[in-house]
Amino acid sequence: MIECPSCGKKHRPGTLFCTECGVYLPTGGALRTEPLSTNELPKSRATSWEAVAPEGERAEMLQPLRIHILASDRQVQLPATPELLLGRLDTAHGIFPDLDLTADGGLEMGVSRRHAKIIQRGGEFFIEDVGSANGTFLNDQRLTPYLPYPLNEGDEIQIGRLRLRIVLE
Amino acid sequence: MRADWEKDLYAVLGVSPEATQEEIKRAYRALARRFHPDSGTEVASPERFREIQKAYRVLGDPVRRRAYDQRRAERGLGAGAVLAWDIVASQEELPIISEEQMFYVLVDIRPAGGARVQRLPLNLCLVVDRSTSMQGDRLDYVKAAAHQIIDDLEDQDTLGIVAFSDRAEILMPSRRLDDQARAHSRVSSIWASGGTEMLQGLKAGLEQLRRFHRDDVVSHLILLTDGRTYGDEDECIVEARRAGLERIGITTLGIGEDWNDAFLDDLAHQTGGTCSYISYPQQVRDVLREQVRGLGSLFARDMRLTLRFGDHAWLEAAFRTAPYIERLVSQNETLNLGMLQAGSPARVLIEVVVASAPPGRHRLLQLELTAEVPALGRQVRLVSDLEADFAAEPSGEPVPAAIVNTLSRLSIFRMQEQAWMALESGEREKARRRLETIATRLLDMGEKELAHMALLEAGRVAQGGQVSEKGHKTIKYGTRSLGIKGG
Repeated sequence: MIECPSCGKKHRPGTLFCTECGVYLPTGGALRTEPLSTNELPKSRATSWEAVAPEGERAEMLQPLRIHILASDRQVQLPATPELLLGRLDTAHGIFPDLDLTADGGLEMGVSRRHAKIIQRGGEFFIEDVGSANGTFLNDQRLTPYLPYPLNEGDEIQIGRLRLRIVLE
Repeated sequence: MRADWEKDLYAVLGVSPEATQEEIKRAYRALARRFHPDSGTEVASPERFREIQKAYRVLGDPVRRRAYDQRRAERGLGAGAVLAWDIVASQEELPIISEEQMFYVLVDIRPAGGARVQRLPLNLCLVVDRSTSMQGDRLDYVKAAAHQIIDDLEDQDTLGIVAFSDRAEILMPSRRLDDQARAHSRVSSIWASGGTEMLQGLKAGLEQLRRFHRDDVVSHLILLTDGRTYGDEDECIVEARRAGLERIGITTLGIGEDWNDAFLDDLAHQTGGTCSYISYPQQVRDVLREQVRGLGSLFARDMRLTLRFGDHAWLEAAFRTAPYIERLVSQNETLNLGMLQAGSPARVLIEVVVASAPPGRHRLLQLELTAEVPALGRQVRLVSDLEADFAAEPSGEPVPAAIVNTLSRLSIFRMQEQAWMALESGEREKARRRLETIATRLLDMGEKELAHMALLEAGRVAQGGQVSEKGHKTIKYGTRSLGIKGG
């Protein structure tokens, strides 16, 4: 059995989150961390119904997306969800990006933990920088943070200094 | 090694899945000439040539080709696919240890890329609580919402309206919406009076729905209430279960703080439907529209996931985690997943306990998904085996982000479940600690409003007070919709 470093509850090996206190067990990350600045965090959507399907828009078919990380030649199939976060995993702060770029040298290449979002609306993909330290580039043009830009097949995006290619199915 | 059916042989030959046998033969010959090792062309490649030959061995033979198509369709691949699914496991390789270990499986279900989404006619019945407590704002907003729904529905749809207090009154029998003025005037005539007795309203509503219920329509009852019903809860559940068997869905919308969430949850669950919390009457319209829009984009229903475990594994727990979070109860190895809407993929997280096993590859479980796709008028079935290698020294690949992400949101939902349980059994200190932990986690996720609510309630518990109904419902339904953030 493994023991939760925070509350001492015992779990079977392989357990990822403590059922007692919610700690991420593989790292045993500290529970309390300094809150991130508000403009870095998405607004609460707990009661927002528009988040599921925007007003006046028919429910759409969501498509999966593939991203090719050029430096490490890694291809990742991302799930078909309305929103994907690109960044670096930080369990202590509860940041679990859909595409974690740690293994691709994310830290050295200046990837923020919460770097950019890929949004899917009406069958189209958009990329939005979410206030990253080193910026997001689309085909070598720096994006204005918090503004969505349309993505097309074969587009190259740059997260910090890490280059990725978009592969649409 | 990848199984044969995983590979798209049509792509290897560069033909469409609808290609005729003649077209396949022609494509094969052209490719074979180009890639043959002796062809002398620049692209000559023995590997590529073998691949082309292998593809032709299957596709060139009509019987083998049909079998291949069939197997691929069952797995959500290929042209005949209607439903697609992705199955991700926390580990490919498991360590050989003497004790039991945890293993997670994430299943994403969505309409297949090429599947047609067709809006089916809706057969709706609004069952509105008009007890005295609904008087004023609440009823006004409900009426405004009903007016909106009448405008939103299409000509082919049918709508009935039932109001209930001590008894049920059919304000508008189910009918096609060709006379909207009449429907509007019926809604305007709802007045508040009497107490809340849900059973009569529910029965009357279901009766209206049954008049237009067919296999190729979506029949759904939407119940709006702000109160508790007394003495007839069990009978309501029985009615709902019967409706579920007839494929009539029920959505429950609780307004304000005084309704019984466990009961309305249970009522909706009987049919694979959901319960939503409306804290401000102003939200009624948006929530109701969202529900109706969702029903209009229904892609599959009566969706069931069956888990057949091998000798070394068994089910610990299962949750739906998108579009919202919900604990799933397995009946005869089967999880009832209800509806699939075109715009919101379903996600299920399965927690598996794995016992010690000898080295080598073992089948942990088989997953089978069945669903009725009304647009096709038939059932669709997907099957997949999940295997894992047991090794003394596993390679230690990181757990896929999607699983960590999903579990992270799920853990908050589970902690609030436990907080209420602790409170009910009088363990106030435990409940307070959990609520505080939830607040911290929510804050880290940027869910400020929910975090503050959890902190507020933790404070109430610390001071020896009761948790507020508003807090309880906000946290319960708020953490549940953390699922919609996907990820």
